[in-house]
Amino acid sequence: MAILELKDVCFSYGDKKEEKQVLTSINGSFEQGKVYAVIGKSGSGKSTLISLMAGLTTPTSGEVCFEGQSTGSLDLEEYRRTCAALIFQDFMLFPLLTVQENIMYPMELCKVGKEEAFSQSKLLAQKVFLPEELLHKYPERISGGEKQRVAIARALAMDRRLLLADEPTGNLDEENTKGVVELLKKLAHEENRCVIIVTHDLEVMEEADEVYHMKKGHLERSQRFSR
Amino acid sequence: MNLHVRQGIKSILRTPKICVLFFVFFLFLNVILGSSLVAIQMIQDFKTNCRDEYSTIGVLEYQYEVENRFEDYKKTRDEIQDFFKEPHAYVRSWDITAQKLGYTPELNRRANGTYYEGYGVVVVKIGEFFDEEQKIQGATVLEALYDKLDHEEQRLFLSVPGQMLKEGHTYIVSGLFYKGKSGIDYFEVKEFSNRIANSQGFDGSLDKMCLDITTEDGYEIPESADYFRKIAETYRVINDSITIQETNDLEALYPFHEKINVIKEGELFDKEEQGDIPKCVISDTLSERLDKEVGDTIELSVSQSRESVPRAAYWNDNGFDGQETYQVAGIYQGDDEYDYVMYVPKKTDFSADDTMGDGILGQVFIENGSEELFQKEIGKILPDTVGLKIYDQGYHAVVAPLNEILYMARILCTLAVMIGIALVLLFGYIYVYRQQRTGQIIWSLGAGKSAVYTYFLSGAAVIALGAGLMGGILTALLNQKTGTLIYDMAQSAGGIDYRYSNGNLSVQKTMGFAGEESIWPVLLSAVGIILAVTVCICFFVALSQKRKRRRKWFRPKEKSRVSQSLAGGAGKYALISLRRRKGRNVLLLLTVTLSAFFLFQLSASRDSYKKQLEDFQKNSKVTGKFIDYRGKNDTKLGISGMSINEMMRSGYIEDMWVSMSLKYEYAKIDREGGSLAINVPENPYVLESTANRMKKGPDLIFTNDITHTVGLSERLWKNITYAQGYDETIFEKVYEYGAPCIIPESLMQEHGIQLGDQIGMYILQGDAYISGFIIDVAGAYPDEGISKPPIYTSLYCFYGTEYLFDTENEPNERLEAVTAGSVSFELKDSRRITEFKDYLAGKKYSSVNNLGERREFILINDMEYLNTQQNMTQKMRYMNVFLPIIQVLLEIIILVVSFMMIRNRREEILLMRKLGTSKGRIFSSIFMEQFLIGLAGCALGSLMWCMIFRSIDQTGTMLSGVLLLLWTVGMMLPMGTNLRKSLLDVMQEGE
Repeated sequence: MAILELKDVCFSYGDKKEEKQVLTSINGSFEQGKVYAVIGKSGSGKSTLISLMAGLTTPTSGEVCFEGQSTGSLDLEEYRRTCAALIFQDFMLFPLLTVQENIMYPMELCKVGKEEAFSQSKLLAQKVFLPEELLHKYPERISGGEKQRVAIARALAMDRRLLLADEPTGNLDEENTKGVVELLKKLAHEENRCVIIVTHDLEVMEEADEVYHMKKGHLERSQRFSR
Repeated sequence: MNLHVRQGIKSILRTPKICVLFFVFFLFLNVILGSSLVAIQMIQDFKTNCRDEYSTIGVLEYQYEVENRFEDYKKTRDEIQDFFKEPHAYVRSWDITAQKLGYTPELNRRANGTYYEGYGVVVVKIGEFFDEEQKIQGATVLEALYDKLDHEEQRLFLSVPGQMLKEGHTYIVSGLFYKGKSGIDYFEVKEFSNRIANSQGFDGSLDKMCLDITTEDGYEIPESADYFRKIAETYRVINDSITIQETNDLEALYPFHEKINVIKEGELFDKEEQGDIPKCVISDTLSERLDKEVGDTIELSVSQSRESVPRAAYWNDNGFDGQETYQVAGIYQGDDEYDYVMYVPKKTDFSADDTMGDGILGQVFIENGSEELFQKEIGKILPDTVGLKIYDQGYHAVVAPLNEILYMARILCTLAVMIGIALVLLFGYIYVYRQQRTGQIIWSLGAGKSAVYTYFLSGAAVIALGAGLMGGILTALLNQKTGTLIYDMAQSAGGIDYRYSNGNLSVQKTMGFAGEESIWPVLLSAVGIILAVTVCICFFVALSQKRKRRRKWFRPKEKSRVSQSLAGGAGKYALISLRRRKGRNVLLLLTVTLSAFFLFQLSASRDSYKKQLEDFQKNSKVTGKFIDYRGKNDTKLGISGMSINEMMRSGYIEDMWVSMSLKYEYAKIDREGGSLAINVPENPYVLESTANRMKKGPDLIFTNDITHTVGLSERLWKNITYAQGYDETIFEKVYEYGAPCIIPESLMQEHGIQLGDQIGMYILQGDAYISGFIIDVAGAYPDEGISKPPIYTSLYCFYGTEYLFDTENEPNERLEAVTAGSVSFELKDSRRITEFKDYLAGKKYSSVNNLGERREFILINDMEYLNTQQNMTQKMRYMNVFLPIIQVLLEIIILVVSFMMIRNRREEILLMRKLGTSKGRIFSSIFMEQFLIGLAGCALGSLMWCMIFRSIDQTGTMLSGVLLLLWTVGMMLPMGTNLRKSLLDVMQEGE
């Protein structure tokens, strides 16, 4: 069963005079255990699509269904806390919280106990191959690749099964890109999570199980790209 | 147009809110700044014109006769000259009295028919013996060596003190003629007192002034008696002399400054315009006597001396010092006092600077408005005997309200500049600093740094140039209105009430304010704003290009940190943030603390100053006195007892000090027959001569308070030695007989008087009525240096004076017979000074130079009080206007700071929202942190102030509360706005 479904999702913004249609009748189905890549030109609506999937907003028409339930009927904040996690291109870490505290943040939102939060955060850090000595550092003291791992570890808190990554390797070098992609793949295949990546990166595309193509507000499933 | 110029202009136009807001701000500032500068310039220009139009002079003169005046004069003169050798910013020039004697045989000073009294040298033949006791003899004038009247062949009564001349003998005598009531003139042989002659060893003693020249054939004046001719010639010159006064600024000289002398023909001379013959200005009397018109020349023999007053600066033995010729430039009409004064420019080769002056030491031309400062400085060196009178033609009255407006304009200007700087910085920050990425992009695309500058400057130029231009046009249009506004404000301000004031001794001028339009303030303001914006933009562009890392103190310290649990919700987050944003939070705390402290201080300052003003008004004692028309003499005025009583009843007077004076002469007490009596001369001729002598003698002063008696300095009354059983209360009592008196020590020494003795004296009442008076010597005062030292006794010796201060009963008719010589008073309440002046005006009292229906002139010594009150009231007004503005501005600044702090955390809020943090929790986290800072700051600021000043200011506490409220509102506004918007909208909001 698909963990996330898109049913005739349309999205537009602006008022009646200057309405801009960004997404038009988007349909899609995303399952756990797979890595999906969404590619497209700039301005094709990729970021809007991922915002809808992450519950940052609701579609103008149509439905985004998480485990059969429309996000329109869900508490979106609760949805983002427990169901869907967003990983950003520019990492989006709290500058005044340490690495461990950043990872613990979503757990605290869900009122996880102190001890458990500490132990969980350590485990998650290990999972994303973050050295323990980094746990007490502030984000500005670590490298881009490490920051992204912290973001991923945070995304894994509360066992969220839907990971949405918007250009996660955009600010990383080749080596770190490889590492992050490998990690995301592992999370999808070994931990049965659904990973949806918006990207321009061919390498990421190559690693994805399925590729969707955004074109003028429409989502098309592509054949898997091969060199 | 250049690409970056176009882009820059477009960028600013695409943010209409910022564009319009800052345009309006800068326009408003420009107009305020420009108008303030225009006002400042208008007022400064007017004050400069006033400087030329008005003049303030100070006259230094002896307040009463000093015994050793010449020595004292030299010493004082030297000290004052030294004072003026140093440059003083408030002194324009110093004109020491420079006078000399001038003489022409054409001048006869005595007009026909006037009462004559003067010195002469005559040859007389002694007739019948008349009064052996008084040594008065009849004589006939045979020849006059010098005699202004024609006494030849006339009889007169001759007296030679202590001598009887031989009947039938002829004598040559030198002395004083005076008229008696009988119609026969008197001649009293007097010593020849001429300081020049005396200083050269000439013996003018009494013995030598009477010489028997009888010969067998009649009489002959021997060669050895030639000195009589010299004396006669000396008297001739002195009696018909002109006083030549040298001055560099005739217009500023006291008699002309005060319009006592007014030019009626010709003009005043100007030192710069002197031709070959120096100019002079003479009185109409001199013009008539010498038969000289404008353009005519006058030739004078001149004489000057360091040893003598100018009018007596001649001794025939020395002759004249030279001849001078003057051309009449102008003829003035003036007081009798100046009839025989000729004004000439100061010469360098034959100057009268080293001569002895008379009562006036000199006069100083003071910078308008600086008289208080000058008084304070010169007061340090002036002796008790010399007083300073300031004559301000009304400069203060005209300029005082303008000074107030000028001060406000300056404050407005300063505020405009300060706010302008803040706004420009804010604009720079918002427009440039927050768009620094744009700048980086332009630069990184290879356009270069100049392109970045061009981009931002173009955008800023739209606002700055627009605001500058439009503001300049508006200010220029308002130019004229500014002048009108200043005029109206000055009129309504009213200025200081100088009625009856010692700040108003001068003849007043009025000059209406007329503001001249000027373009440079307009330009300055517009250009200033444009330049400020340009500089600011460049600064921020440069800063944004350079900044690579965050400011150190905003970076949390990197220690071996142990991560903390976030359990605890919003509060825990707030605490972590509070601790880890140390640098920023400390600065914010400091800002709020200082603001709270400052608010307290502002509020308390105002209250404190208000109290100071109230205390000053309550505790100040203002005095006043009756005076003459010119404001020069305050004794021998003739003030009716009824007037004194009426004023006492007005309710405004706390105390009044009244004195009267009569002439006295020491007399022996007749103790025969066991009773004490004073034998008053019965012979009318003896009476007359005694009366004439007494008229030139010392005074018996009746006063109700020795410490406030005019003419008696503090130095003297503080050193009175009282006889046992007596003190200063003797002046408060009524005495039927034997009034106790305070006498000069010199009198005691002269007559061997002791404290507690009884002595006798003649008292002269009216013109010739002499009565005897016995007094008890209750005390003595040191009178060294005083010429003709008075005796002081209780006012209540005078019949009727006991009713002067009676306000409970109806005015006693005996008051009609009371006439006081001097009256001074102290007001009960200085705050009611204006009411008192209204009362005086209502009662038609006159003031100096201002004749009212009532010929009694009042002078109130309130200049210092009024000026101080004016200054304090002005400051109070400014405080009442500007302190609240500053307080409000401060509150607004706090609001804005709080607002900006939260806006800077937009990304943090956005992240929290993206991570699913509830709005309530986001709000709480940030609110708690900010509120704690605000609360701590307000509390700390308030506490600090209360501890330092040990008081609690209620208004300050309230303002502090408002501060906290605005701090809270400031943070809630952006948070509320942010949280209300949809997440997507917030994400899409760019720079």
